Amino acid sequence: MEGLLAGNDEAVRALYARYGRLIYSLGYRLLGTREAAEELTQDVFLTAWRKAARFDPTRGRLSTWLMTIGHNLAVDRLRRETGVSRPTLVLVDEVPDAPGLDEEAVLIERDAAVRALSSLTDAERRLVARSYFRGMTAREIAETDGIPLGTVKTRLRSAMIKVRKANEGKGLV
Amino acid sequence: MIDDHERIEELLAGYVLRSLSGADASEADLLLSEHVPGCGECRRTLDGFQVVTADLGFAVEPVRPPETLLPRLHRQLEPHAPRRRPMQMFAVAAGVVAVVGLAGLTVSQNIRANNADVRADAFANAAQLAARDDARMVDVGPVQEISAPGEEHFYLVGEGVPGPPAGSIYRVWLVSDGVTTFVGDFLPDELGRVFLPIDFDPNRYDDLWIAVEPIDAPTGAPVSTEWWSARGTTPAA
Repeated sequence: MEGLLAGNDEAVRALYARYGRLIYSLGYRLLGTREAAEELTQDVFLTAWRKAARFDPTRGRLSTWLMTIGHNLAVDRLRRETGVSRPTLVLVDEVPDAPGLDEEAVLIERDAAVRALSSLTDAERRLVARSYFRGMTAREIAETDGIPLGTVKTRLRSAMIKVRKANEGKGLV
Repeated sequence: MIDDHERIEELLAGYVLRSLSGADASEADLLLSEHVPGCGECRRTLDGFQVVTADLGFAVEPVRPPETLLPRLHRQLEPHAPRRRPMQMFAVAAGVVAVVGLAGLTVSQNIRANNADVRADAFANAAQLAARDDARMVDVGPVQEISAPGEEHFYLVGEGVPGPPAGSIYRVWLVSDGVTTFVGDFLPDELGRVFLPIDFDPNRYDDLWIAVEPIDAPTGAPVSTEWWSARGTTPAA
């Protein structure tokens, strides 16, 4: 992060090598076009560069910080582009084979994320996907799916608690 | 303040998922600005939810970015490349609905920021005001005051605003003839953004003070030593 603060080329390259594909993939799945994903990726790394001093490693991992920035920027964009055609969500089915050394940690995280999602009921997983991956509010989900708003909020809460418990084994939450 | 544990969890889960709207979003704003900073259990819950929410992003099918993306990023990060000024926040988040995402604002007295529609209108008005040739933009600590002659309101806008220490909050006052008027409190959202429309006529006041204050400190005047002035007067004077 110190290198990033100084605008060090190698630091930027290293950060991008580790997380660039991840952020780009998130952007592509949430926003639906390669152009939007590229813009989002650039914005995430620019934000990280400008605010590197605010990253507190005692409160979370770098990947968490970057993904939070990416998700917030993507949701902001989804919500201001009214009428945007929300892309079909594609969750990874299995861990890709032949990982490179640089990607190993990311693949472990991906595996954990998929396992955490699998700990949810179908109804919870559907709500989490609509909220996190499609940027829908609880009210929008309730109206779209014909579910009482209170039920949506309760299920989202229970889903988050389950996912958090599923991640406790990682010693991260 | 809310003391229903399940309700707090529900609001914090909705906050990190960005699924809140309307009254829930306002309630979460208050919770995050007034309760969470001083509550260890809620901070742990919030941190835990943020970790697992961010980790959900790992579940998407990987897509390889174009080879041209890294060189473009490098060009933008060059030391002499112009950085976005705070006012470019308006360009970045120009869509009115995006203002809903500015969380962590405390509504108090003449700071009106709890209603999404009001925020959206205010954001558009602020962008128009900032674009005027006679607009005044003054740095006040971590934020920028934006006003213009003849306008009976002004805005505080910031990007990259650091969160205050736990149990503290940014507090705003206006000063006239030595009399301080408490305006309200604010916290930046998780991306460090601040946007506050303030319905006071800045031309009727001598100064604007912002201070990092303990949440439970009296609002009569700044009690901390970490404060900023827009016009150069001092709280101690």
